[in-house]
Amino acid sequence: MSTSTIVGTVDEEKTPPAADRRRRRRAAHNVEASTHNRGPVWTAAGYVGMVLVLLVVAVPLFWILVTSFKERGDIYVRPAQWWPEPATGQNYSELTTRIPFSDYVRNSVIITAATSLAKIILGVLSAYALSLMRFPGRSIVFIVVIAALMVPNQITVISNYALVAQLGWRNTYQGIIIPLAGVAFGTFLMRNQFLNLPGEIIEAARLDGAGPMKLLWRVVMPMSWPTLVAFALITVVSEWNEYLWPFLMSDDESTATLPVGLTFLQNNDGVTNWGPVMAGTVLAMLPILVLFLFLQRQMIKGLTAGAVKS
Amino acid sequence: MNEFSRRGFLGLAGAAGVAGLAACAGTGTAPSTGSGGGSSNTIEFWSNHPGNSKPVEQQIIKAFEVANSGLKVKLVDAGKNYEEVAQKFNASLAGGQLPDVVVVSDVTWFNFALNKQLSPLDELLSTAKIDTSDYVDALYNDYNLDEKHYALPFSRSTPLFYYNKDLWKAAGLEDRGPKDWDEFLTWAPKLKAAAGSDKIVMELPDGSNYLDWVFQNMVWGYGGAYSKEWTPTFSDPNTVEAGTYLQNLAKDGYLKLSKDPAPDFTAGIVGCSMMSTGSLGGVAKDAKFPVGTAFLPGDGNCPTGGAGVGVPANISDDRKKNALKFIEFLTNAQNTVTFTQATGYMPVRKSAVGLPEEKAFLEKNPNAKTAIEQLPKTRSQDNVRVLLPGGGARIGKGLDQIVQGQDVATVFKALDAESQQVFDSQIKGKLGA
Amino acid sequence: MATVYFDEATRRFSKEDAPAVDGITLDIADGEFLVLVGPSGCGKSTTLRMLAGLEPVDGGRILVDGHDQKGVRPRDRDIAMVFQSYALYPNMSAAQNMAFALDNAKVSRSETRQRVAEAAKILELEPLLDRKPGQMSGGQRQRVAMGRAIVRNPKVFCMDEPLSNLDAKLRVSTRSQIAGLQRRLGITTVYVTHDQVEAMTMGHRVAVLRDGKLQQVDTPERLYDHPVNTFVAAFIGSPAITLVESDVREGVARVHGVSVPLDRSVAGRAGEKVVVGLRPESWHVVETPARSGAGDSGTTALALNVELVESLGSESFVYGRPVGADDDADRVTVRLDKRTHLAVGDTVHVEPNRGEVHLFDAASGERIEA
Ligand SMILES: Nc1ncnc2c1ncn2[C@@H]1O[C@H](COP(=O)(O)OP(=O)(O)OP(=O)(O)O)[C@@H](O)[C@H]1O
Ligand SMILES: [Mg+2]
Repeated sequence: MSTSTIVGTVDEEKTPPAADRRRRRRAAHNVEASTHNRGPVWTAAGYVGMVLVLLVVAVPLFWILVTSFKERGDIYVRPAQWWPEPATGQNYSELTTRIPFSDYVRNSVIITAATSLAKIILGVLSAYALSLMRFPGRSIVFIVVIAALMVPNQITVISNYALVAQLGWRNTYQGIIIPLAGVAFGTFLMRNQFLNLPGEIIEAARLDGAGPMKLLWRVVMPMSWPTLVAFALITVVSEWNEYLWPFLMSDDESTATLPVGLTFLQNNDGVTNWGPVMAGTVLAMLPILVLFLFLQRQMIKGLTAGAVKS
Repeated sequence: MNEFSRRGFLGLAGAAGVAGLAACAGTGTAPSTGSGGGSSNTIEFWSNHPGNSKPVEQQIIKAFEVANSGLKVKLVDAGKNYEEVAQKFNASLAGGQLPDVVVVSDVTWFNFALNKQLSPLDELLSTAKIDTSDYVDALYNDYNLDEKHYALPFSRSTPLFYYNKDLWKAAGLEDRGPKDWDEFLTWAPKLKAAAGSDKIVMELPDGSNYLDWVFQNMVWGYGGAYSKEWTPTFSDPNTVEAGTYLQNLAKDGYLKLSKDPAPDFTAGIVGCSMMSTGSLGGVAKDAKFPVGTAFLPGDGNCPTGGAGVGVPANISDDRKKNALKFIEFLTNAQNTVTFTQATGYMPVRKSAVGLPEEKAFLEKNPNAKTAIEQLPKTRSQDNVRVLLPGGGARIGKGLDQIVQGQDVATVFKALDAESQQVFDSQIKGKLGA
Repeated sequence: MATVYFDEATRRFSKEDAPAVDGITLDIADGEFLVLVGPSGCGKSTTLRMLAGLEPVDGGRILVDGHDQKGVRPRDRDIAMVFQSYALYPNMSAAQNMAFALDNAKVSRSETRQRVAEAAKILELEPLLDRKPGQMSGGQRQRVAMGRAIVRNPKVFCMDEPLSNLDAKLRVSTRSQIAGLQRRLGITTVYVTHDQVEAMTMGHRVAVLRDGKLQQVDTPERLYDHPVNTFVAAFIGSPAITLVESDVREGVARVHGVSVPLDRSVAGRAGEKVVVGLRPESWHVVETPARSGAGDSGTTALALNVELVESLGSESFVYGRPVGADDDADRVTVRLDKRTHLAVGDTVHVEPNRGEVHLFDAASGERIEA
């Protein structure tokens, strides 16, 4: 359930088409420049790199998947079993009986959706204000936002905790969601994106009489989808995997999220039965994987193509 | 994976502690109000459910609520390990809404006690007329600071010597653990020959995963110690001898360190190890060979471990009284038996071993018996490991260096200096204050 | 419909550098088509942007219809701009690009559709209306950018080299369309271009800028016939005017040793040194060069060594250096009619036409006017 595994999947999914494209481009290049043909070596190197990446990323993932279908006794045998023999769904059913898995899923979905949405909306709006609107004190506000990025998480966690506890919001959804909706990163990222848009298009829209909201929705955002989608994806993944804050705030399965809940499958002092843990990891990974595959199609490059003379 | 993150969270807990103070200063609220939030007839019990004990905890709670109508216990998932509970507790110290009962480990309790964040229990115990003499002395006295006790033992463990009986047989050894580490050294070549090149004679957890805990056994076996009271004694010749012994085991190819020896041992590629009693159930269940357990080598050289339960300082007296009532119930002879049979921990009451269900249990589980019989031979851990902030991690790092081949005397000398410095700067001033 | 008045308008991007636009005063009449020309970086775009409200005015003022535009938001100025870089909305089709402003102004659907269709027709964009900018050629994009301005029917058009990406044929037709359209709609227009022909044919008046300073504003004819300085003379006209520095002795200037008699009134104002300017068409070929009576005072015909011949069909331009001159001597450009056949390496004798000589002060570059 760690971030790296999930991002790992993502990379793995992406590799084949990217490699495919590279190969085609390489082929075209060879035809054009056959005079100094160093293609095969580089192609081979490309493949080696690709295979390495695939191994590094995919093997642990494959291992998790395979282990989740193994019987308990088969997990620790040497030499390692690379295929569940016999395969069993036992770990998955144990997962749902040993911990209130569906409660954790529900909490994770609600909390991730709400915080991501809040983060994205606030991030876009604040970045817009900080990049394309003029108001006094703009740079001060920006510096404060950047400063907020610099404060280590552990510090803000404690002050947030004090605040939320005083509001009596411990072990509630709002107690978990609201402090997480801080936006410094999104503000920073989206502001950069907005500043990199061709200024003349925005000027053109202003001359065309577009108001601030229209400018944002009809002109600025359509050119910023790839960045926004990337930002949304990063946000959703990190919210989905967020551990520290939900752990501190939640007391039980009424609000605890999946990453917190899955830890209760591990034995704190003794031998952990990794089967259900792996099963939980696989299930926790799935929604993000699906979301990624869906959003990936939105991440088309070159949305500003043809907008301005290059 | 979880083992790996323990130390990480230890550091985090420390940071949270510091930040907690800062936040207190900033907001200047809740913690000093005396009530610390919460209601007086609901007892909030913050536990990490050590040894997957949530169901049995709930079972005991239910019994408690039946026995004490009007009192409710809310079991809170307070973390996946002791360090996380400490972290969460730390956060609540900053922000108010304290629990009534909190699990504190052999390593985490002291800092809370030292900073007066846990209540000393002695007075409460005597007011409530609770007899503490039935608690196993070594375990009860683990929570002693300035003649006051800040927790009662709950999920207590010790290391055991685990061995692979098949390998023992193949090496032609008797079916028992070594008497002392010198004897083990005479066994090691035979074990190695029997094990072959793809197996390892002994695997221990590395310095990030409590090598410093089990290694105390070797140190004590050679007459050394990490410290005498608060004085670090790493440079003591006996301590250095133990360090050299450890180093030679590795040099000669008998010893390997890993994050968690349990899977390797269970998979049958490791001949023996020192692991917590808590691992007993899991290892016995998963191993496809007969598992042997024995006392740790030597006599009276077994460190204790695990956790107890404490009561926060800044809650109302009513709440403290109820909290203690619950703790007493949770750790009484009957319930310690229920709890330990479900988890693999050790009964914390002397009288527990006499109960019929415990007798029957031990009859059926001879390995569990080893642990209990070893209990009287346990020894409280050295202060610089468990009571100095960052002690375990510091020593673990040094031990890793030794196993990698660095000069033992040099490493230990540095540990002496560092430990002394931490004591002087962080503990000395607060002692007896 | 509006008048535009630049009153000492200045734009300074940084304190250290010279202003990008330096005290321009320019009175543009209602419905006038003013062309702004000048070398790259001289401040043409900046001037336009100041008018549109996209750049602040650091000194002076800009009035539209007599109202100071200071503090008026771009969207409230009712000025349409065609950007040098097109600046199309990449997510919208050509039709949507054009309709965007009308949409913002809450113009009715049907009228929007009609105006877009009209503009599309003028700009030959009809088959492209559903395409996104990414699927169009540079010229097509530029036409969409034009269309976006046209449909708005604004007070003022600001056009920043709107035709620079069109091919020659399209450029010619669009050029006349824009000019015709502007005249029909009567919308005051400020039009920036690099193109000589556009400058000379499209506008009522042409303003020449150099380093942010306004050099001359005049009708194309006056600009051509009476450039106020060597810069304007050199900038207007293609091929460029031949400018030769020369001494003036007894009312006679010398161009590469050929004596050019000056009008008495002009000669009187000239100093020791002048710059003589002769446009390519201000020469004629002489078959047999006659010697002037004055012996060493030189000949009246200039012998040119032909270095390059540009034959444009109806006319040709000959570039040559005076015979005997060294390599770094200035080239002389001469326009010939099509019947003359010359080849590189030939020698041709030419004489300046009387009365077509431009004279400038060598030190200041200012025109010496009769
Ligand atoms: N945003 C800016 N910041 C600083 N200097 C600028 C900026 N925009 C333009 N300049 C400078 O102002 C001067 C005039 O620029 P401008 O774009 O008006 O030139 P131009 O006449 O339109 O040139 P071109 O024909 O190449 O488009 C140039 O020297 C340019 O470097
Ligand atoms: Mg320009």
